[in-house]
Amino acid sequence: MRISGKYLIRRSIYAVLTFFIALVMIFIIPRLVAVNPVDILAASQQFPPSVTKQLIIQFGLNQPVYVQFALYLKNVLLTFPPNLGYSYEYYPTSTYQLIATALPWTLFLVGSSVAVSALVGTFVGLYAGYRRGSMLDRTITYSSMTLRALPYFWVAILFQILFAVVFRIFPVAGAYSILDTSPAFSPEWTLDVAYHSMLPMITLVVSTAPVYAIIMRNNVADLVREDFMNVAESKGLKKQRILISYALRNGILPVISIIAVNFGYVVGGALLVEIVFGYPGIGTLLFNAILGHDYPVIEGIFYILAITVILANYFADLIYSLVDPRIRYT
Amino acid sequence: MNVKRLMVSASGEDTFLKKLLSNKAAIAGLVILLSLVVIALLASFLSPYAPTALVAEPYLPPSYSHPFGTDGLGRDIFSQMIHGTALSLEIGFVSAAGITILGTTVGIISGYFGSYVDEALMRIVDVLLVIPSIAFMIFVAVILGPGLESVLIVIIVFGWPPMARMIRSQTLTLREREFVESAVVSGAPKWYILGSMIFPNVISLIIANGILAVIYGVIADASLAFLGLASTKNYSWGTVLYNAQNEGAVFHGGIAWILAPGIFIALTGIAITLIARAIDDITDPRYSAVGR
Amino acid sequence: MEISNLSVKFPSLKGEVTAVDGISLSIDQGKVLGLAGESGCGKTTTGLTLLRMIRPPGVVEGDIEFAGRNLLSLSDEELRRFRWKEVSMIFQGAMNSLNPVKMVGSQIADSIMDHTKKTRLEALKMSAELIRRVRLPPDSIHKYPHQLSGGQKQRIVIAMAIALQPKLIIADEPTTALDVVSQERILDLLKDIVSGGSSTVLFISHDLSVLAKMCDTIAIMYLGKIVEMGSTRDVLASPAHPYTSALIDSNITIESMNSTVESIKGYPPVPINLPTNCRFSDRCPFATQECFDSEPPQVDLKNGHVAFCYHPRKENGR
Repeated sequence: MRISGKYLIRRSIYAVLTFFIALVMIFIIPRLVAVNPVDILAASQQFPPSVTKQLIIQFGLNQPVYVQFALYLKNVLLTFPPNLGYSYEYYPTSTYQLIATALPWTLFLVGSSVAVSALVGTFVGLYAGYRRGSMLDRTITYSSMTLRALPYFWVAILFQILFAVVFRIFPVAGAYSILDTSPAFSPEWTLDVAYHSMLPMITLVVSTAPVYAIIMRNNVADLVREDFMNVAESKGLKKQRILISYALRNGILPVISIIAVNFGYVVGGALLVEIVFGYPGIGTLLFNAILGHDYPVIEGIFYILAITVILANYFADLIYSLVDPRIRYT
Repeated sequence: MNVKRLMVSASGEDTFLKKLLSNKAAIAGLVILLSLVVIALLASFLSPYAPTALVAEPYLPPSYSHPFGTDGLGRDIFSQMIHGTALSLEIGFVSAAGITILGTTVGIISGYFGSYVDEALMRIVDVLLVIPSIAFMIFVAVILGPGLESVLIVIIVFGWPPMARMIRSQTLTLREREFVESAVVSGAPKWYILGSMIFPNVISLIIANGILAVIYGVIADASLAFLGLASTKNYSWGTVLYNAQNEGAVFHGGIAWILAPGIFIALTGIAITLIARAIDDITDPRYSAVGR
Repeated sequence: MEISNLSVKFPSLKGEVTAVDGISLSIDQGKVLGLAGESGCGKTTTGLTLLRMIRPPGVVEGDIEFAGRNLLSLSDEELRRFRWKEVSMIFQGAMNSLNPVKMVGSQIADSIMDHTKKTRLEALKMSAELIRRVRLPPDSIHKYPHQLSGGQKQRIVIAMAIALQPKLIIADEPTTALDVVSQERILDLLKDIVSGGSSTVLFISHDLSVLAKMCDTIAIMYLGKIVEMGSTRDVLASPAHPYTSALIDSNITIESMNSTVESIKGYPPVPINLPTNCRFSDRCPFATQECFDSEPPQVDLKNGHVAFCYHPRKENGR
């Protein structure tokens, strides 16, 4: 398996370009609506005057816009850890620290639920497409259509009521028991965390898997009419082989690209689901920052999200090129 | 197989509308959508109370006079839902119109003119597609502040790229078709080719995706409202849900309060998917969504 | 292989389409039978029926007897085992016969693994041997279909078809999609493979010159019916049915167009709700009233050469 150098370079350039545009947007949008960062800082009165002065110098807030932009790039790109300013609300905790604590929870939630949704969606879609027109196909297609039309956060609230309030199967909220004192990554802790993540994860899977299922179903339903699928059947191949190495391997390619395109959307959904379940990830952090007008945190979150989603997309593209031999050699 | 070629289509001459109305799924979708539109149009007649009026005890369970109960301040949730239908659909349709206009224009121009115009436009589309749209919508909405206009702007700005992509690839295919090529060769003006050859052939794709954009707008608005980023003066379905969550409906037995907005959003989504799918089926039977 | 009174029908919006209409054929062990006719006459459908690849709503009637078993009464698993092991097929258009995301060697190996107890490694070794037999370079085994030319893909498809040494191989227009040079080479290869005499071949083609080169016997099909059948020599040298004569004439003028046969006036009618008369009557220069009224009888000429016509050999003067 190898990826052609040209393809790799082109994709890398796109990723860097996209990231740069996202950076520019984060920088420019607040300034476009004529909000003067110095005024905000002064009005907020959250920091001691010395800190305000220091921030004004670090971010060049009293200097021309291009200097501000250069300093902004220096602070977020060339400084480690990135200097994203201080949270108004949790001063002296830095924005970076807040995000670094919240991000792993979100990544865990999104990563595991995308993996499970892709797996479930792909196989459900594979069977529906292979049996196109059957009762099974109709049931799967129509229920996927319905599920896809539901907002993530509404499903979250529903599941919370059903599985945590009415039937007390799962905890209502949080990512771990507050009373639990076992050290991080101990077996008890891991189990507790897994237990708490079940409902948010199921919510995300129920909302995301139908998207993959429908795409897979349509791919396979089209594939079944291809000559090579007929040939596979005339060859008297076993059914699992036709399903796995013929239908699945061809039908899954568009699904992989959709996972990439959809990733940002799932992250967005996850943010809302976190809020419902009080899950201590980026979503909850964002929600509190919005409520508290904690602008540095909001900006920092978008900076991190842009990096995460663009990287995820980049890797999805590479994986795609590994799975589809036709791309690899061109 | 040869036999396939011999089978003759029976429905060569039927008009698009006639075919749409003979499609069961499309009728079901249209009936649901039209009912919602009627509710929206007659909102002030249908709702028993003003959505913001304090009319009863807080947290009342559903009853005859308050079908969905009352909220934490004693306002009638049923009335809020009726008015919410009007606002949610308005946002849905207006943002769909914006998305369709922007997406179609960019898509056709990009696909037809190709070369560096295409390259530039598609880079923008790529960037907007990769950037987590809900998250950026939130970001922009935070900065613009709560309000109907800012909600519409962010939904449209982040909503048009997938549509532009789709229209572009359809235009590309059309440009290669013989009837377009022969028109180009015979020196027909560009506006003529675009207007009377390309456009009529992407119109069904535009309609199908334009309709789908309505549900995108409704859900995006609900998401923003759920974060408290929509105006709280006017009620949309998302606002009702935001209040339900914030005022702890779960712990006050307000099941109807929570169910109602979701069910309305889901109904809209199902209706729209059914219609879009039917249009797809009619115009391109090969991609029939559900086997008949 | 004994085919008797085989019909294949497809319902359509305008009525039932009869693609194959009560044909009877027998193919002798070790011989090559050619099946000729214009496109749409039911050649391919006949071939697919022998693998039972006609899907609902298509309906197959009649009997197909193969090595003492009735093909139409096999269960699903019996059918799976029957396909490729007993009857294999070289499909029209090798371009689309191969799985685009799988190396061709392992596509050959798939059929070996699913029909024998061989391991993956053994099956791949056999694939390598088969690839050598169809005269492709050994490294072809690791190639994906899009890395091969049309002729090379067709060779892979042939290798696949002979992998299990089936009793019958159906070759459906194996060279139609290829350029003239590759066509010749593929035909030579097929001829070599066939000449051992161990496999029986049903060779489907619209191109009589190809059939003349490959076949022992030829059957001519028109609108789902066999109109003439006999040894290649008899049929081509002294055609009895006017349609056969016309096909031979058109073959000389337009070598290899799988479309309309220009020297025959008109087009074949669409086989929906067919009348019971001579199918060729409305295009036949020699048609008389009886041709329009009833189906022509079987006329036996010498050496098992048969034709279904009221006026056989009208055109002998040519």
